[in-house]
Amino acid sequence: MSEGNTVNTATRLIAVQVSFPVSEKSPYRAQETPGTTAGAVRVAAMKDFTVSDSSQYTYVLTHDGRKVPDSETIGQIAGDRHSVEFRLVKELTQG
Amino acid sequence: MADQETLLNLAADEVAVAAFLAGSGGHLTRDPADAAVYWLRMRPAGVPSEIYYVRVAWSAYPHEAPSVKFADSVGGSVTVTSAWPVIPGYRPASFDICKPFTAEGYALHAEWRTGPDAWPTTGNPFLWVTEILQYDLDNHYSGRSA
Repeated sequence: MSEGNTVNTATRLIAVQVSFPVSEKSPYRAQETPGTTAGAVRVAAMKDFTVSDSSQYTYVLTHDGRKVPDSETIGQIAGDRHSVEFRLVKELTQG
Repeated sequence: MADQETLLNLAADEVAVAAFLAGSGGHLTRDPADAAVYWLRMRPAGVPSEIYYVRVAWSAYPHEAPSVKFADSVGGSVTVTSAWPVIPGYRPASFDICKPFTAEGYALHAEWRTGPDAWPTTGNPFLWVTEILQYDLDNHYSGRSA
């Protein structure tokens, strides 16, 4: 691998979008490096939407319907794509 | 019958719901006899051969949570136990979902009406309800009720 390729990989950014339907705000958007964790994106999006976890529920990111673990990286989820879209879902534990 | 404000607000928000369901292999149908009632065809991502039908009935949108019940078909009975998925908080024997996004849940738990569990009236609550239903089917589903 050439040094140039190494630099390109290191500086690659992935466009991230998180939608949350009951917010009056537009979807949360950011440019993230592949190594950024889904957990970091989740926390940033929750801050943007001004919501927080409690003992009775948590907010989770989903991608194609699947709950995304906080430890997963944006690069793992995006693969070769330049963007990735998440949904922020309130996981309710009452009942 | 719901008021005109409800019907207009639903008409505006149903577009995003239909698009979301289509992306999950589902479908949205507005009841021909009552425009405040919708029928959602949904399936769990892990078992796409299992089809579920959900009746979502709004009284005042977006101000009140909807009645949410599983049915045996679009326009069908909402009192069939086997029409329900097995998911924590979903109660096939009672034909209700005991969580703070349904009219049935709020009726059972008055304490949910205020604070962090209060019904959200901003944005698109119809899509919010639909996303929770799909999330539960995709992530907490353990089969069809007997």
